[in-house]
Amino acid sequence: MLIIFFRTLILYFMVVVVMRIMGKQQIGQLQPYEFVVALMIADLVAVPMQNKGIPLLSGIIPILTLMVSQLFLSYISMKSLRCRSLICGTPAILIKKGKIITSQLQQERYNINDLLEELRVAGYPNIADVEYAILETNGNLSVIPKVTKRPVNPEDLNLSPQYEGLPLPIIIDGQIIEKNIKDANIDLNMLNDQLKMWKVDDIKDVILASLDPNNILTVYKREE
Amino acid sequence: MKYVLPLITIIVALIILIDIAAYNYLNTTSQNFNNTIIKIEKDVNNGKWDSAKNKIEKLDKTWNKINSKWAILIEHNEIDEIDITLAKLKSYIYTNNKNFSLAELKTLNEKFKHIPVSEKLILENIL
Repeated sequence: MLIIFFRTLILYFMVVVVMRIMGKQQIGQLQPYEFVVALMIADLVAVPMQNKGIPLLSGIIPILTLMVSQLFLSYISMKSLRCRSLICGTPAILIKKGKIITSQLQQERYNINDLLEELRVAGYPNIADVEYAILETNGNLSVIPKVTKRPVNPEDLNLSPQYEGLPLPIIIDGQIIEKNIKDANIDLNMLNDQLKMWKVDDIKDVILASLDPNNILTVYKREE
Repeated sequence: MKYVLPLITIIVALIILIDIAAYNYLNTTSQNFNNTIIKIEKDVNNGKWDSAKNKIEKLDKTWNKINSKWAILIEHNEIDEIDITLAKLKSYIYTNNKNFSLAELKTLNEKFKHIPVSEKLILENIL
């Protein structure tokens, strides 16, 4: 029992490391070659995890081989445009200038119902509102609406809003993030003053404190 | 989230306890079997076939009681292998075949020795 426990632990942490090395994309956003690797790793790990008769190395070696192959393919697809289109495919335009391109639909084995479903998911229940719909290489459908149907931008209203930078988290789970304090260019006295304004006695009560670009601190306290 | 650490501790402690108990159980029962096998071996060597028959009958009964418990702890094909060896051994002893009996006794002895070793928490078994 403990043998299986340790084998599972070793393989689990190994797969976590391998997945971290391989990239940050989520399962739904994987390219075909990444998806294949994820599926194969899941299957490869399951067998040596439960079968003590199989040496752990015969589970580890294929995982490492898959990782190397995946890294190799992603390297090639990064360096060469031609290889990228071969490995990942190219985006397919399903709706062009408001017209459905049936030949592309057939080529991608995408039927009208699939198209309507994806458009609804993207927030366009009426196909007439769509100018372009592009099926991306990872299977997601990007929708570009007609100009008259897109949301209004400040630019359309001739407005020039103030610059909005990135709010920096200064305290997370009661711990001060020193790096962000340095980046925000504030000192601890100023932080303490702002915390006093929020009636914070103990820094451990703070679950999140973030500083916006105008140096205004927003504090979220733990529930009492 | 407060329950996470206690839950992990309880489950890990439970696995460790079950593993220790299982290993001890397998070790003691297989040692008992091996002691009987050594006695049968002596009987066969001395030509005491009636005594050997009685002992193998007892061993078979005990094995039939225990193997269902072993099935929870070890791989089922190992139990099948012991079943087959025991059946061969019985027929060799009943036909007073000394050479084959001794060979099967050795095989059975090795199988019983091997089981606790294969369940022991050692690096060789993990890797």
